[in-house]
Amino acid sequence: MSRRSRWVGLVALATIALAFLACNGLLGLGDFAISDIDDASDDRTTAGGDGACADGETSDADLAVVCYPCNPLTTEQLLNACTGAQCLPFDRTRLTKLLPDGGLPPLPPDPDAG
Amino acid sequence: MRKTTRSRLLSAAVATAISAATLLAAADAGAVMSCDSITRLKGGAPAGPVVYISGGLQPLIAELAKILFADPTAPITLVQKVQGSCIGLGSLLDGTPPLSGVGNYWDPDSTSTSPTSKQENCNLPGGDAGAPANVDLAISDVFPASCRPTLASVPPPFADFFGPIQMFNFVVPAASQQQAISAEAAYFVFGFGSASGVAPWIDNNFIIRRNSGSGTQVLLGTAIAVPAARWAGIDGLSSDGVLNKLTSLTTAEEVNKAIGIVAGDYSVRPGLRQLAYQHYGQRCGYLPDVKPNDKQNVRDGHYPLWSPVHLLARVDPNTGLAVNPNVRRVIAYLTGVSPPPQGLDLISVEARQQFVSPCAMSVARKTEMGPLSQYTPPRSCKCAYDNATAGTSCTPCTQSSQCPTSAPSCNFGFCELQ
Repeated sequence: MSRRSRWVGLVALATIALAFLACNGLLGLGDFAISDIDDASDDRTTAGGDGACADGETSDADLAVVCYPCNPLTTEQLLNACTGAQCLPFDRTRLTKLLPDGGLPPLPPDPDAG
Repeated sequence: MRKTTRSRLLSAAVATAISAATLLAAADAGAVMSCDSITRLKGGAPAGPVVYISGGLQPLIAELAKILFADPTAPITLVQKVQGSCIGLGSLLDGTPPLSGVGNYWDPDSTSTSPTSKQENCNLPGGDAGAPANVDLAISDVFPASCRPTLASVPPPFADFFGPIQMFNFVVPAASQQQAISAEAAYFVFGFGSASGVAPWIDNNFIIRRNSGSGTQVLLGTAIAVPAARWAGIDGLSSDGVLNKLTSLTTAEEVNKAIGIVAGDYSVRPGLRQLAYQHYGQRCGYLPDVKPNDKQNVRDGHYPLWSPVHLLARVDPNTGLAVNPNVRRVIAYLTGVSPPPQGLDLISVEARQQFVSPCAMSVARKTEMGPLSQYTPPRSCKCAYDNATAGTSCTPCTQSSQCPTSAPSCNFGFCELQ
């Protein structure tokens, strides 16, 4: 009975380990650690990938979600480059006057316009 | 009765004498010399040749001016008329308006302490409206196109040299609970005022702006896509006005709903606090500094609200350099191409005044709030700038032979990569 219990336990552990490795391999769960963007955070925790790229390598990381891990060249990459600096996101839910598509409405009419 | 009359006459005579003496003293005190013939306070010898400057950057100009005034080999007298960015540009390009009124210069022997140390006044030569300008150097916070939209760039025979980097800031009273603002939020707050819908910034009377001629409002307006002439809120009239309005609030409710805009030097004044800024297309907001005063996020592109100070002068079309050799020297110092005389550490002066030396930048841009690109300064001063602010681990040096191969160039006292 005791040997059988140990056997069952070992099989269960092996199954869980295999399932985790499979998910990680397929989905890359270990490559991303997304912080709670409502809190100030250190951008190194939100790097896409390992935060390191070979010379000349680029990344197609979604910069709305993660920081840019490679050598930044464009404005968007420079603004979102991974950094050790603390960042303070603005809570977008405070924008109550956005258009239904999430865009900005036009400015009010210019009172000085003819 | 006779005695009383005599007393009255005596009193009247004394009063008349005092009035006359007072008037004479006032006239003497108000005797401001012409800027064309400034003499040294100590010894009375003629000062060095004058460079007429129109525009801003006065605290930095004041530090450089004192050194140049006393330069034993080639003195220069910097005379500045503090004016708005676009006014200074007009004075240079076509003399509208001409430089007139009272100018400031700096004599190390002056005992004046205000508004800047060692500051004296002189009468500017003036000029008829529309006549050729007598401005040698115009200093503007913004690109010429921001003042005159028809200008793609400054027209010949003038040129635009990029000087120290100036940051601009959204600020709140120090006791406010607010920490950050995004470009979208600023679009609503400064574009719609009381109708912004972005609590707690929903009261037009507590949204403190400048005006459409202000470099601060022009640059921030470009950043958030609200033209400078379309801003909601109350005109603070000046940087001091914005500071005073934001720091004179008393109730917690007023403090929390107040917001304003200033250039970098005012953003660190007591009573104010910088907001982290999250630009369009940026996933998080950043303050200018990582360590106190290091401007790391400005220098690497994470804090995009900055512009080079523009040094505009008449140039030789063949060399591209300023025609006036003294203007050429001033530009070389302010752009970091040459070190100023007498060991003046302009990098530290700039850091103290919240500017970034161009040679300490890792990013650059060519238009107002335009695209950012990586930048490698021809003679880097990143270590010297760090040393002047948050400290550096760079190797100190006096010559390049003391530097390792990994940082072989001895610049401004430290081993740099380039």
